[in-house]
Amino acid sequence: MGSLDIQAKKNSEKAERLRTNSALGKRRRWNMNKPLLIMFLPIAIFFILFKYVPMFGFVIAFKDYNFADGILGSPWVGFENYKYLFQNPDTLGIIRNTLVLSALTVFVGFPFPVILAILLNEVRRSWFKRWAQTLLYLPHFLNWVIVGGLVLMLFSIETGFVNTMLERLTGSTYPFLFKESSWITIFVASGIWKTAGWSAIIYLAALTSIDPSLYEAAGMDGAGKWKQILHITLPGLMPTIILMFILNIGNVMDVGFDQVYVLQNPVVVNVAEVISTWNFKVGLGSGQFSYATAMGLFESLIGLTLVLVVNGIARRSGRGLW
Amino acid sequence: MKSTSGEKVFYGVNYFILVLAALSCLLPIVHILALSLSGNEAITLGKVSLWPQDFTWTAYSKLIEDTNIVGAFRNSVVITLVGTGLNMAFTILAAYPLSRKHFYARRFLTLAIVFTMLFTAGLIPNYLLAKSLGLVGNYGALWLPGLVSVYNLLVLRSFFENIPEELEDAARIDGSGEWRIILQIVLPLSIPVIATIALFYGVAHWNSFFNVLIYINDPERFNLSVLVQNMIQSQSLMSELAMLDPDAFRKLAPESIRSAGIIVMILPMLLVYPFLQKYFVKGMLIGSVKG
Amino acid sequence: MGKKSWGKKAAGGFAAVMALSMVLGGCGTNNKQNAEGEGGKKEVSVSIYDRGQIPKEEGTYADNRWTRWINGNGPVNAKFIPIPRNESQQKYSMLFASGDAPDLVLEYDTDFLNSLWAQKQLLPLDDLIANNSTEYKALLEKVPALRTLGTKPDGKLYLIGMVTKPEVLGAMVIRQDWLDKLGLEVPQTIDELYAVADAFANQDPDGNGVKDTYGINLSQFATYYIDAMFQNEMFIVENDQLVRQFDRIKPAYDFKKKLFEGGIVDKDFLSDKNGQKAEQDFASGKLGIYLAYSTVISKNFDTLKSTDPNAKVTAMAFPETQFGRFGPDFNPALQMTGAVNANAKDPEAVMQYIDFMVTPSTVETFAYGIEGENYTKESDGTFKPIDEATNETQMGYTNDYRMFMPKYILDTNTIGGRPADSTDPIDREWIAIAEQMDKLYLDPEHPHPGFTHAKFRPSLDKAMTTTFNDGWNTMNDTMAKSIVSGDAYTVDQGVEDVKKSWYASGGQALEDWYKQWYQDNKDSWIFMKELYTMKFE
Repeated sequence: MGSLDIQAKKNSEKAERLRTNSALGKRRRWNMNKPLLIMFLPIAIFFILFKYVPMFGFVIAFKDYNFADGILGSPWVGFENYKYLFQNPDTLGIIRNTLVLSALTVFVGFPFPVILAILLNEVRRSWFKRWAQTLLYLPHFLNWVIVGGLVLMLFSIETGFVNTMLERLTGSTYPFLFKESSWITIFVASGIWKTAGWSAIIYLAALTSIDPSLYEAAGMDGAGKWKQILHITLPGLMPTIILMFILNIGNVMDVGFDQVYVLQNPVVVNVAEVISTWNFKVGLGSGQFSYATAMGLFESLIGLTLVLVVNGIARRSGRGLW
Repeated sequence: MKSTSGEKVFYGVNYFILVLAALSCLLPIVHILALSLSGNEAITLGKVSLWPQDFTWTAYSKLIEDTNIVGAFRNSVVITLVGTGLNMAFTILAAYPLSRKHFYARRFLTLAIVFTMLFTAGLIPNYLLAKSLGLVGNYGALWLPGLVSVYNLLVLRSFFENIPEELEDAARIDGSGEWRIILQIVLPLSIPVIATIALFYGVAHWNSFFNVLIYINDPERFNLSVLVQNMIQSQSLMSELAMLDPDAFRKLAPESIRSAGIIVMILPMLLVYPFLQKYFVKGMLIGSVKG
Repeated sequence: MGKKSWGKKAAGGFAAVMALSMVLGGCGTNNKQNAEGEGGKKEVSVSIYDRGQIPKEEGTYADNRWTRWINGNGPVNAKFIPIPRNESQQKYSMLFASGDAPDLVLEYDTDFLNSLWAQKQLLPLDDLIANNSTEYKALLEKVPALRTLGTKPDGKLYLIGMVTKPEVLGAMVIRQDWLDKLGLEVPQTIDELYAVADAFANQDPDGNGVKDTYGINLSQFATYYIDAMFQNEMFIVENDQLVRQFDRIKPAYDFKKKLFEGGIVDKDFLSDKNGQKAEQDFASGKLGIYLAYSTVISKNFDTLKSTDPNAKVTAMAFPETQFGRFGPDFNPALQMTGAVNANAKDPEAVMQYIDFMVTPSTVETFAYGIEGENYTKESDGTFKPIDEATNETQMGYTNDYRMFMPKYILDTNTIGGRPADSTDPIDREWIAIAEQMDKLYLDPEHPHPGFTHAKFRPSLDKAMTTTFNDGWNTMNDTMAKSIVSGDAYTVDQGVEDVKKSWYASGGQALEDWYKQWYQDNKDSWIFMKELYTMKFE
């Protein structure tokens, strides 16, 4: 099914290319493009003005920015800011932590919204579906401070629900929040809990474009639910899954400050200190825009590299973003 | 059709998982609701779990009497409705051309747009730009710089790409222009994704906090999110601030009022989503092709 | 059609170039506004924290009865620029970057004010005060320390500050009724402290037959207060040298670890970052010795009394250790809180505003309100509030307008945050405790350790600021780990790692700098002891 789709796509692209090569095709293509260009013009202006123009501000990564001289006038310092950042013995560990936490968030967290959407899709009572869907998306609106409080209610040693249960069953407790591996698990899991219902919305929208008659036909052929999901639902979701994955991977260096700051504690700081929390604690964040920009540029470059790689892979199966 | 026993097991497991997951999301909200309706002493002593103790409406009446919550709510609605309207119009205008295979420089433009998602300039350049365009101090600063979100744009584009070309070709033969194709074919067939993206934009506007603080100077124009987040956030950063500014410590909003704020903030979202869900109709696209 | 779109494109390109030049230009346009405001008064702009806590009927932080009062009675027209309290530095940064910063900048964080100075955004005030000030000039003469602390390394005065009376901040209270029940005394030494805390945790002081009490709390600031008992500050004066010490870390953390392993403290203290759990334990009568801000203790004292009317609480001095006897953190009489923008349109008008705000009659108005509306003057000269509730509504938000006011001239009618003449028995009880705290914690014989108050440490450059903050964070995090990790990570290992990390992140350079600085400034700087003995009448 999926491969057929790709084949069709390739064929139509080939035909398109053939058409554009002839003179007639060129005129026709121009005529077809004219209204599109007009449509796109305000968008182009928007992106140039609001996205590309401010990018010149990246020069302060190579300057010693101060308010008095402004972006242009501040003195150049070359790679001093980077030298300074990478000379700090903490920096490498912090970058590693940032990558690990966000990679886990992306890779482990990724399937959950898909699974949730599929499960919801299989619900036949519409009132149940509506309620479940609405409840599942609510955590998205809770501040991390609140979620942090809930995590404590569950996992603290003396009063946490899980430990109270553990003590009743086994007679001993476990310091979940103070062991690195269990902390990371809680970190990733709380992120999943907070966002899965929200992220599932996009897949629910994608599910609407799958032809219901496919399921009927499969049902006639005696395919069980499991087979139907594997052979109809998942392939139908694949373009959206790939799109989401590429978009998520671009933000891999961007671990939310609040989540880490609220959940971390001194014992797990070796795995829990990330770029943004470190900046906040050491005080680079406030006045020192040059360092922040230098770090930001570095994060962006990593993001770009990853997106180019992933998109390259996706292109091989005809599903790249560009 | 009769359900086989395998299907029965499948549905049973499915409901079981969903009920568990939904409960895990419901209980915290119930807890917050209970906090907002409880006396402060009971909260301090940790007595409140899922049912209010020393039941009282004080937190809500205080929110309404002492804070500008009504005005803030109105501001939130204005920011969200106008903002989402603008977002939708321009995102559709951007997504449609990019979804057309014959569009010039399609690949280049897509890459150029993804690039802006990865390389976002810092606060200062954005602020200076907004200032030079006269946006500081008005809601323009909240609407224009985020007019088109790359993320939503790409989602919309990928759904537009899925619309069978035969439909459009047929319309073109009938003499329809691109605008009519958008209005009469593309948009009606994309209602689920349009609803999704409108929800994404709307929620982002509803929650917008930092930009409001930075760009809007007049406290009368602050939104609900600023009002509520100020109460919650001040708590998490308080230990950092407390040494300098003990006053901040003394003036922390009590937990019941903070919880009431959260409930007021969430309630509209609880109402909006089920409303949008009715646009998630299955098989719309397919039906139109066959018909 | 095509031509038209090209025209539009060109226009768009032009707009982009314009915007680009403005972004790169930095400070943007210096809009020379008319400095004359209403009524012929000069205009100044003044920052005001927006805490989002002003009652609705009072208006906004930028426009309310007090801003109108200032503009009606003062010599200049002040325009108040609200600064969100929790994002104040971000907001200030944007305003400075775009040339829109207020003329008078009020901010509690002196490190941030220092960074503004380093970026040449502040105006030297020496000449301005000499030529245009009467009130603030008089204040500087009366309180020369204000000049010392406001002067930057270039020898000029940049910061203005507030003069109050020293106030208790941190405190340590103990359950006297538990002591009585178990036949114990208020502990005087660190060993006695351990013994008492142990008894509180293990001998069922609340008599309910269940082991559900904690001896002492370690959450939030409590851990720093135990450090203070052991003089465990990063930089201390020893043999007339300012040195980075490491030898006090071990005893302090051995003590904390013993508390933890003995089951005397809440095992979750490290995740109780806001101290909420400790508050709850104290208020519900489960905590025997409580280390926290006195205001926080006060708040929870009321709840404690209502859960257990027989509870009795006493303030206690920090116990003695081998390093001496010290005290908790306190609010010193001086605090540097503001500066004038180097680009202020009319510095003289700003000075007039400052002078007006530090005039005794203004200070009194902002403390007591308006005669006949908020208070009546008694025959003995004291101020009697007309209606407490109205005053709370009308004046509860004025503190941030008073950020640089000399409040020491006021007679306080509150003790420990409660009305001095209250007849409520719980108020009376707390007032007695608060008076005891004043005696114990504002005692120059038992000062807070460290060479000076954290607010008055000399300003460091960027690299050294990082080293300092990094060193502070690493010490607290690494050592905290040693408390809870048993034999897997001992206190000795922790101290080793703290040392290693300190020297790896440039600690030696900072030590050398501090040493030299101390030799150069030991006669002129304001040190810890002086902060206790300063008196202004």
